[in-house]
Amino acid sequence: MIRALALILWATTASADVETVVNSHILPRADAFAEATATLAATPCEPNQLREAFSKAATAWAGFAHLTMGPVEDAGRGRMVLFWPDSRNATDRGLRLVKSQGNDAWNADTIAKGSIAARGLGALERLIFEDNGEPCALTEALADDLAATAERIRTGWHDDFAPLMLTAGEPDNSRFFTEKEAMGALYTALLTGITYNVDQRLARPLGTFDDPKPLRAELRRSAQSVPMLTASLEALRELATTMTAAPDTEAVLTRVISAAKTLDDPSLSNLSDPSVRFIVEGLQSEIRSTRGLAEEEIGETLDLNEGFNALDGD
Amino acid sequence: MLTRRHILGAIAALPTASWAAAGSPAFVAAAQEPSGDYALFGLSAQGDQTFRIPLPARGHAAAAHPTRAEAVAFARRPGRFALVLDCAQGQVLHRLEPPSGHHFYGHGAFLSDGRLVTTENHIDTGQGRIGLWSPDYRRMATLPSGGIGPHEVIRIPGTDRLAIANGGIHTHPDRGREKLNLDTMRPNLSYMENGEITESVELPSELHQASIRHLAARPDGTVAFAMQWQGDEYDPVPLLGLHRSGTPQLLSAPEPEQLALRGYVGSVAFSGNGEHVAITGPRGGVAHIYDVASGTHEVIHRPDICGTAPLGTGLAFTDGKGAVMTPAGPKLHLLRWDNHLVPLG
Repeated sequence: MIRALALILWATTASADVETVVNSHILPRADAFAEATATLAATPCEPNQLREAFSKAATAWAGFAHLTMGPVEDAGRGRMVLFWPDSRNATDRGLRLVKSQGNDAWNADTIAKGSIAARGLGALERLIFEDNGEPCALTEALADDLAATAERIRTGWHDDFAPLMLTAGEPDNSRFFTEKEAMGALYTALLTGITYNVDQRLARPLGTFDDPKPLRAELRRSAQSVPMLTASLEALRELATTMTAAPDTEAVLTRVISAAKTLDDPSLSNLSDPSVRFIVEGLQSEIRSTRGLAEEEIGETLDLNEGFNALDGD
Repeated sequence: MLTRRHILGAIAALPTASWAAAGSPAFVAAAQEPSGDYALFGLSAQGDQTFRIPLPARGHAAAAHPTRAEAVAFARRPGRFALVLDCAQGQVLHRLEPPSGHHFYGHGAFLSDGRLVTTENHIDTGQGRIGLWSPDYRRMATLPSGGIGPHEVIRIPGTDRLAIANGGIHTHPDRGREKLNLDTMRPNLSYMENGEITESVELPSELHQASIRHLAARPDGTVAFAMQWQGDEYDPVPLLGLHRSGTPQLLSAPEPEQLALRGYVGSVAFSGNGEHVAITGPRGGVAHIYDVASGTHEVIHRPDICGTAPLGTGLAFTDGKGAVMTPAGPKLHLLRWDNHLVPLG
C-alpha cells in the first residue's frame, strides 16, 4: 500500500507527462490493436466480413506501429505483424511454401515457427483480398497467430513496459535511468514515426518521377495504403499534442490528414499520373516539415533531442 | 630520413608522465558538454571522470598512447587536424595536420614503439592513405591504405600488424560527407606490416555496399569488423564479421532483431576475455553481444548507445544520453558521449 502510494506520488510529481502519454495514448492503442486482431481471428471465412475486419486490424496497427520501443521491438514483433517493406517479395515466397505444406501446417503454432515474412497482415491480405480467404484453415491460422502476437504486445505494455516507463529513474530501472529518458523515448518514437511516413510509406511507392513504384505501396491489395498513412498521422498528432502543446505541428498534420482523406486513390496506384503525383509529393513534403516543427515545439520545450550518435553517420 | 637513434633521442626530450598522472583512466572518450562545448575525458573502470581537456570542436575518436599520458583526438571527418593532448597536464602538446592534399578520416592508432598511424584521404585521387608519424609526432611517411575511405585503423595486440577498415566510400571535402560511389563501392579489410599491405579481404559482391568501418582485435589475431549498410535499410544484411585467415565469418541476428540495428553499427569491441564481441547500433538504440564460440547473441537496449570497449573480462558501453555502463553499474554524466570509447593499454 505504502509502495503503491509512493509510486503514485512519485509519478504525479516527476513524470506526469509520461504517465499521461502512456495512459491516454499508448495503452488504449495497444488495447485497440489487440481487440481488432481478436475480432479478425473470430471472423468467419466470409470474404466481405474478413475484408472489413482486416482493414480495421490494419489501421489499428498503423495507429500503434510508431511505438516501436518495448514489446514491439523486443522480439521483433513489428515485422511479425506487418512484413513491409518487402522489396524481395519474401511474403509471396513464404506464403507459397506454407500453402504447399498443406493442412497440417495450417495452425497458429506452426505458423509461429515459420518465416516471419509469411505471417501477419501481409500474408493475410493476400489470402483475403486475392483468394477470398481460402484456404480458410490457413486464413484462420494466420489470424490466430496475429491475434496472439497482438495480445503479447498488449500484455507486454500493461504488465511490463508501461510500469518500466513510469518508474524511470528508480534505482532498479535498468532501461530508463532518468524520467527524461522515458520522455525522450516518446519523442524519438514521434520523430521516427514522422520520418517513416515520409521515407518509407510514401517514398517507396513514389519512386522517382520517371520510375514510380505504385506496386510497392503498403497494403495496396486491400487499398489500405492511404488509410494506413492517415491512421498513422492521426496517432502521431495525438502523441505530439499529448506530450505538450504543439499548435503548428498539429495544424499541419490536421491539414495533411484531411487532404489525404480526399485523395481518390487509396492504394496509391495512380502515382504515374502527374496530377496525383503532385498531390502526394506535396503531402510528403508537408509531413516532412512537421519534423522540424515538432523539434521546435516539443524538442525544445521539453529539452529533448534525438540521438547525438544516431545522427552522426560515421 | 630519421634514424632509430634520432627517434629515441626525440622521445627522451618529451614529457614522460605515465597514465597514473592522469588519474589512471581505463578509457578516454570525447563528449559534448551542456554548454555545447566539447572535451576529451578520462574515465575510470567504474565510469567516473579522471580528467577533462577542452576540445575546439566535436571529436570522433581518440588514440591513447601505450605508455605516456597522451591521447590524440581526431576531429570528425573530413578532419583537417588532430590534437596531441597531455592528459596529465591538460595541455595541447601538438597539433597534427596531414600533408597538403590530404585530410584525416577519423581514427588513428599507436604502434608499440610510440609511432602513430592515421587514416587519411588523398583528395585528388580519392585513394586511402595511412599517415605514419614519429613518436615525437613528426610526419614520417604516407602509405597506401589498400582501398578507398579508410576509417578505423587498429594495431593487433602484441604485434605491430595493423588492420585497416577501408570503408570503400569515396568522399571529397568540397562535397562534405556526400557519398560519391555507392554503386561501385568495394570496401575491404586490409592488413599492413612494415608499411606494406600484406592482405586484403573483400566481402561477397552482394555485400559490396556494406561499408567496413570499425574494428577490434583479439590477442590471437582475430579481427572483428563492423559495417554500415548503404543499401535498403530493410535488407537484413550482416553487419559484423570476424576474420583471422581465409574467408571472413559473418554474424547476424534473426531478421527482426537484425533490422533493429537499422543498417548501422557505430562501434565494435571484444570483451576483455575475448569470448564475446559487441556491436552498437545508435540508430536502433541497441547493442548486440555475440558469444564468439557459439554465435548466439544477447541484446542491450539503450537509446543512442555507441561507444564500447573491453573492461576486465567483460565490456563497457557509453551512450549519447550520458551513461557509462560497466559491470559495476551505470554512471550518468551530464554529457553526450561521442561515438567511441577508447580503452587504454
